Amino acid sequence: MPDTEKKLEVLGAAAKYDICASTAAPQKRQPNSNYIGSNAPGGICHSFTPDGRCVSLLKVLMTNSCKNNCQYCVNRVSNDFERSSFEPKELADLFIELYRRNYIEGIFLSSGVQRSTTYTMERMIAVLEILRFQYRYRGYAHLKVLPHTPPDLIERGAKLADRMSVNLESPNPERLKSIAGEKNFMLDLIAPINAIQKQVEKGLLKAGHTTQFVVGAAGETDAELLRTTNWLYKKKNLKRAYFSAFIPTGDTPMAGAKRVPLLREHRLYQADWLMRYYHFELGDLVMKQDQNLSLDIDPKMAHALKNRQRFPLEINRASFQDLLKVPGVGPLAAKRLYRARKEHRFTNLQELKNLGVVTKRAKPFILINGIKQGNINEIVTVKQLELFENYSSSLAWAEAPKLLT
Amino acid sequence: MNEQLSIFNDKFDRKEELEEKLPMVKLKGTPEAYYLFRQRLYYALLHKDPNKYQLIDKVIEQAKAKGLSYILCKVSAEAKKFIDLSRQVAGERHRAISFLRLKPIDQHNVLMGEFEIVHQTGEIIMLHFLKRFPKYRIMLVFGNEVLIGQGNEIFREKIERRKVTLPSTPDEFERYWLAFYRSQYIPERRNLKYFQRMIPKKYWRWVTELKEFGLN
Repeated sequence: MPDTEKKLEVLGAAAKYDICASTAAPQKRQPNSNYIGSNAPGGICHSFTPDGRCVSLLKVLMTNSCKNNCQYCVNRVSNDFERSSFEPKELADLFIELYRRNYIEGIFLSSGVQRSTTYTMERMIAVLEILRFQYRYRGYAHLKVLPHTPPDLIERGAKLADRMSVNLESPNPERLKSIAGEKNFMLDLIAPINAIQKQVEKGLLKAGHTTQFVVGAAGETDAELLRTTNWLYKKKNLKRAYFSAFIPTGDTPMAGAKRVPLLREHRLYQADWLMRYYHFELGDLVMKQDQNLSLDIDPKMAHALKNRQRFPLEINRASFQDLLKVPGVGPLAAKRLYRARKEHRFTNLQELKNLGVVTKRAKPFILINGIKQGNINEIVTVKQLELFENYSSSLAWAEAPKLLT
Repeated sequence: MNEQLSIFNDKFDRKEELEEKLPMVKLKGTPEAYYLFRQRLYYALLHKDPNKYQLIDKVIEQAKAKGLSYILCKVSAEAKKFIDLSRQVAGERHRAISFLRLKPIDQHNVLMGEFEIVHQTGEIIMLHFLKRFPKYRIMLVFGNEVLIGQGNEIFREKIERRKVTLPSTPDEFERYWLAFYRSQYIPERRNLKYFQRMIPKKYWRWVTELKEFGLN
């Protein structure tokens, strides 16, 4: 492997903006001992970079050659730089050696579109075939599906991978057109998602399928992103959406564009978690008039402030869904509270603290045995409260665009 | 594998089955709560704290009186401490299986690694690697103790660590790993505070690639 080090540097760097680092997947039954690898149900990170991101997967591109010309991407065809690529056997061998040394937890395979989608996908699938059949590898594999991948290749890939994903990049056709004019939102991206969904329904892809958005590259709003995300969760069985704040990179037409604050990405993740784990409906999220989430106040607190008439809640009687709406009460704390309440009546804040409630945030919104525990003014300023009067109160923003319905 | 481990690795679908195996414990709770409590108890027993037994006795008394949810939901101070002990042990296991690097010694079909542990987690760490690499013998050095695992068996030996020289042949794949690790960093997202939360300083000496960014 003479130039392996160089290839890893180039093709690893080209894949670093793909966010998904999850390795959590159900364990597979082991019929004999003639295999290598296993899945950890909770996921494992083997290292972290100074940006705090988990390094758990050998995340590389098969090649950085690409026939597409996406505005935001360094690998676009019009960029003049040296291209590099792995041979399937070369990459499979390299992966197994790194896996044996416990450097990585699995493989994340993506690629630029070399020659054609079919040609490139065939090569990516060949890597997984070598791993699964030659090395009898039983660990985690994530296969990125390229735009316009035909259903038969998706079916083949789904038999080998634990997770597949299609990067939507933008929330709707209009936005996509402005950054990747060659891609057709419905035919190139949603059609492969439909094909993946069928494989998930068949019981393949135990770790589900995901997508990723480049936040802010196409000038889209948070409302647009969350509407599409919600639609994907509800209609396409999406496991999870990833948001990556746009960072302009050199040698692209968007090199001079403004960087998107990481806080915006963070707020989108908070809103996404509210929808997935906190029983929030899309319309529960409070948007500013410009259809973006507030950067000053997190979405759960914003919801509580907007709906002050519903609080404070009696902690010994509130429903599970209502407990989840209280700032400072996460799904685990709500579950504990709900269960413990069957045999125990809570009498003070310390008990709530013990089971994981962030009492400082929760205080103004709860009663314990009818006694109020705090005031909203202790956690937000009058100015912040006034700001909320200007926020959208209707659910209109949450309605799905016609095309997606 | 010893008897203690096999009890905790079996899955029990019914409460009666568990009570058969652990007849002295009669507690109120669902089968899931039993399963979780048993796992917590097992991890807490592996903690280095010599006072753990008194704490566990108290917790079991509370569980008898108020049910398993009272403990698992950490309502009392003792329950919280008990769950904390269990989590510290689980955390050490998790960090070990994340940051421990293995070195293949192919002529002996051995994968060998070294790590530092403070609780009695050696066997559960070994179980993870045995399951992951069933074709290999696994050798793990934890301070003055070496564990050797093969198939379903784990052997334990005391060693005088400073007298043992572990093989230090240069490994080309370490270079490849470092090249890949460097490639994954996005400077615009630098966040050392978050990074330190993810890898506490006491583990930095095992995560050798941190040197690439002057962090080790």
